[in-house]
Amino acid sequence: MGDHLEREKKAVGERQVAVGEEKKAVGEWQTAVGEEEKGTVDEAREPSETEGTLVNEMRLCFLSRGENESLARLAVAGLIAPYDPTMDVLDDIRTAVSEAVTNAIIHGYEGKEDGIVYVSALLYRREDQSCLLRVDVEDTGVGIEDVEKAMEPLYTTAADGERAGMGFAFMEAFTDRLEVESEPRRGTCVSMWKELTGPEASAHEG
Amino acid sequence: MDEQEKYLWIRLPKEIDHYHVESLGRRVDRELLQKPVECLVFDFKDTEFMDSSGVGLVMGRYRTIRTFGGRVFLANESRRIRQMFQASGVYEFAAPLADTEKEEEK
Repeated sequence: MGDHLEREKKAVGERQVAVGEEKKAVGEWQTAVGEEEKGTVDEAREPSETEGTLVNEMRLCFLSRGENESLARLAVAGLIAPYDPTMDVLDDIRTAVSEAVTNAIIHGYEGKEDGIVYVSALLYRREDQSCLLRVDVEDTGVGIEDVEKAMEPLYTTAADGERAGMGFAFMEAFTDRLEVESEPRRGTCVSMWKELTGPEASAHEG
Repeated sequence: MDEQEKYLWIRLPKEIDHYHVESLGRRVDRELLQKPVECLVFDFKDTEFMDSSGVGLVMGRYRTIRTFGGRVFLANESRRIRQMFQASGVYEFAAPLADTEKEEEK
């Protein structure tokens, strides 16, 4: 009994430490974002030409807990909803986001629930009114040694046999472009691009 | 009674993601090992969203049931879910339940 209480107290203590680190991590991330905006003008110019004008932007960070998978899906789906995507496009994006966030939680943070997953979504509109979505899902977890291998269909490092090894394959299949950047012990960033609508559709018409 | 021993019918949730099916897989495995059935049926009637964890769920249960010779069936998959199962080779070991059979079972 006493033993149990002791353990619980310790667990609570650990949790508080974890929360403290979290705050720090969020702060660091914000700094990083700021630097990015200032520093990488050259880099930003190239995609903006193909991506058009930035019309909306969302940044979300949450603990690496399984229930947040649906939060991430909902948030991104909500962001693009005013742009009248088809049901298929919406499902594609929800699936791709779900795969990326699940990877961050179970592979990046190896199931530990005190990591932070960062999701950013950028919405661009081109001159012909067509819209493009870019979603980045980032973690500061263990990283991937061999990205190419990790992206092979049916490859999984999860030992419990519950994973199909189809995460990256689905991300690739359901988006128009996928890029994965990873560094062992530093983390992984998955970037996905998806065309939302044809030239005729627009958020504020009709 | 006979019917119950022959089939285990799993009505899957509205959202199939890693979080929602994590414990479900273990529960089905436990059930299967306690009371082996001939046919395990995954019913996607209520499912509105699925990602690759749904593929993992079916694959994992197939691994369990094949140890005693049972078979896996899929029922009421949407077009989208069917695409995912096709892409990941699930139909090689799990058969879609024919519509007539489905009606009989209900």
